[in-house]
Amino acid sequence: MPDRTNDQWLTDLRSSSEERDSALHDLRARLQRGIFFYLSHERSDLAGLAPEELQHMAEDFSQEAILRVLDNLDSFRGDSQFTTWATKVAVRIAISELRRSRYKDFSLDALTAEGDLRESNLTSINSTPPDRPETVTEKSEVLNRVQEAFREVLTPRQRAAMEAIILEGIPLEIVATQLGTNRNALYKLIFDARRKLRLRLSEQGMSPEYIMDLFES
Amino acid sequence: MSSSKRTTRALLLVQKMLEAHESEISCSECAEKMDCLAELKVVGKTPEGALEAIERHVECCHCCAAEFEALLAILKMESSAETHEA
Ligand SMILES: [Zn+2]
Repeated sequence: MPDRTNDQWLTDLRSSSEERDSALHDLRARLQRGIFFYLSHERSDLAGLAPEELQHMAEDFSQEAILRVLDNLDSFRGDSQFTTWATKVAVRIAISELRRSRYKDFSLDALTAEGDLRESNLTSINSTPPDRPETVTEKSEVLNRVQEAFREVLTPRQRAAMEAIILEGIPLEIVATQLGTNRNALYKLIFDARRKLRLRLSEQGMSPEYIMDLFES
Repeated sequence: MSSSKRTTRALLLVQKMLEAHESEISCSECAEKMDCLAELKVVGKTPEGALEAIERHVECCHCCAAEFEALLAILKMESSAETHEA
């Protein structure tokens, strides 16, 4: 594969001649090789698929990436190697597609339907050894405060989203779609919620360490 | 889900939310510059300034982390392939 400078890539891909065909051919080969490597070496969840199947996926993702790269040539500023930039585009497409198919049955509403946390079974969280009565009271008190703070910072649906993302590792974009928002806005929501929660609890003299110690002891 | 399990989850969520460090960079800003960060990392350099901020975002956003790690793995593979060819 010939080494092209960034300018050569841009010139060749914008030309309407054999140079363009050759550049497209090289770019496609490069992206396919990279994506195939990723699918076959870095994705344990795809380990059950045959190499031909992974190759086929790599071809599809790369084809889609090439279209996007060509559409966005003007936005390439040359801060990195052109091939790195194009690989970034391809990686994003591949990962997004894989996320969509992996989480196609995920439902945020199912999580929300579980309802608000209740304190009725509080003593059973750490039943051995049983808590002294004053500890039970303290836990119950703290839990109420935490619950209040949550209610102030987040709607139940947003809290379910947070649980999905933070506790279960569901990708932001999957949850964002279900909330009718986008990944940036959701990231911002989490960011703001963290800040408010931290502030609110610390105003009440409850540090994260204190809360966790209380419930782990 | 039992209510005690829910309580445990809520507390775990609080813990995770409180212990995570913060990055004001958005996922889009991160996506825009992660190729530059990946190139730096491949040659073992430490990011500074804007790229340091991108690295912080990658550390606290599991989605961007997955994309970044994938890009980095491919770049490393390419760079070792080039070394072998040379
Ligand atoms: Zn992100």
